[in-house]
Amino acid sequence: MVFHEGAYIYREGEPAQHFYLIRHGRVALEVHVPGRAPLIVDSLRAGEPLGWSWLIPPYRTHFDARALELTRVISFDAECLRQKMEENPAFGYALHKRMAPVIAARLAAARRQIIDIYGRPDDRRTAWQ
Amino acid sequence: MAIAALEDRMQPRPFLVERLTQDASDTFTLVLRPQHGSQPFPFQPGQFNMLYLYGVGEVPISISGDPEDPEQLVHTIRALGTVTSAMQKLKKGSVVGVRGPFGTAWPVDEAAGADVVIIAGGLGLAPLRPAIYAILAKRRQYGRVVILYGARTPKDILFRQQLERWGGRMDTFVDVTVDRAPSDWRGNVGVVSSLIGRGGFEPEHTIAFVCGPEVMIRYAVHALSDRGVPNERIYLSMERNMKCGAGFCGHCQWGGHFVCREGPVFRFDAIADLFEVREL
Repeated sequence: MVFHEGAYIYREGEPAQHFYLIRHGRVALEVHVPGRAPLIVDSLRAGEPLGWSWLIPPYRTHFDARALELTRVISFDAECLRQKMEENPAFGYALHKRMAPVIAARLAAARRQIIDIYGRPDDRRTAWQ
Repeated sequence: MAIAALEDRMQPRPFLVERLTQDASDTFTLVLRPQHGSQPFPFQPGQFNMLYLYGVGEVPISISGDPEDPEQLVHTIRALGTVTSAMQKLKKGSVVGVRGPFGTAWPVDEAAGADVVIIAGGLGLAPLRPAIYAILAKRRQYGRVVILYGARTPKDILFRQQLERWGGRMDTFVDVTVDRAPSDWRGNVGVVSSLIGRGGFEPEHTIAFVCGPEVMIRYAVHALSDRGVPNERIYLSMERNMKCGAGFCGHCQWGGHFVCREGPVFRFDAIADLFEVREL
């Protein structure tokens, strides 16, 4: 599938009907807060999987995903994948083993981002950090 | 250390503000020249000076200029406390006392022949800029050169035009990320350690220089280790509350080290144990 610059691949709260692998381009994950400008909280590029909401109930997306440039993705039908994982536990386990590190890495990164490591430090430390 | 040499290190020399440029709302760069004569100020990448604002106080600040241009002394400073906030208001011709240079340097010459990965976060790019100047001045001596930089938001990116220039070179890989961004930002969003996998360097033949907030250094070092960069090939700049600059006063003591004298640049394997001591 191809998404042109600015196109939304999915929106927050939609049923997660697809699992994507980015082949080319870059994708921003955005949060919309009423009364404020949208905020990009993560960006993904070629070689990275896009979205894991399709794997975890209730299978709803958590963010908006917007193509930052012309983006090509491989799209998998989420319901079909889930059904195959149920029918073939070895396949399901293999896929979970591949997705779990992605989910864990993104969770860790998100936690590092919210601690605001570049914010103003305690004055007793240094003047340049 | 001879008494005369010691006195020289403890005595501030007067410098004049040649230029003050605002890099971000709370970050600025001071360009200084000696008040008397045009004596050059040689230094090594990674070293710092004690800058003294007469009547206000003295602070340790890394040198952020080009070591090949010792005629002008450049420091990039974040206005955080009394002294640095007062420095932000200096005008051309104001006098600043300078003691230094102090401390250890990035092993730029020792890295010749290796891939070099430079990871900076926030204002940590300032102490690394002299090393980048030195490496790019002798670019052919190095393998792959990778510069990875993380900032809070796009408007907090330091030396943005220089990063773009370095990134425009065919022989240097530059990638920048921010923790969060408005929707018109076209670059990366995420932590700087997430960029490490994109550098394309050979871990066992890599020398890494890391500087930034301590927590960022920790994550970056872990990510480098996970990719196979040996601890003895990772260097980082540790910042503590430097006062005397000569290892006498003990303000900057970190475990068994005086950061002002044995640092700020440390080889990671020499201090890895201290990273696990939370009380420090």
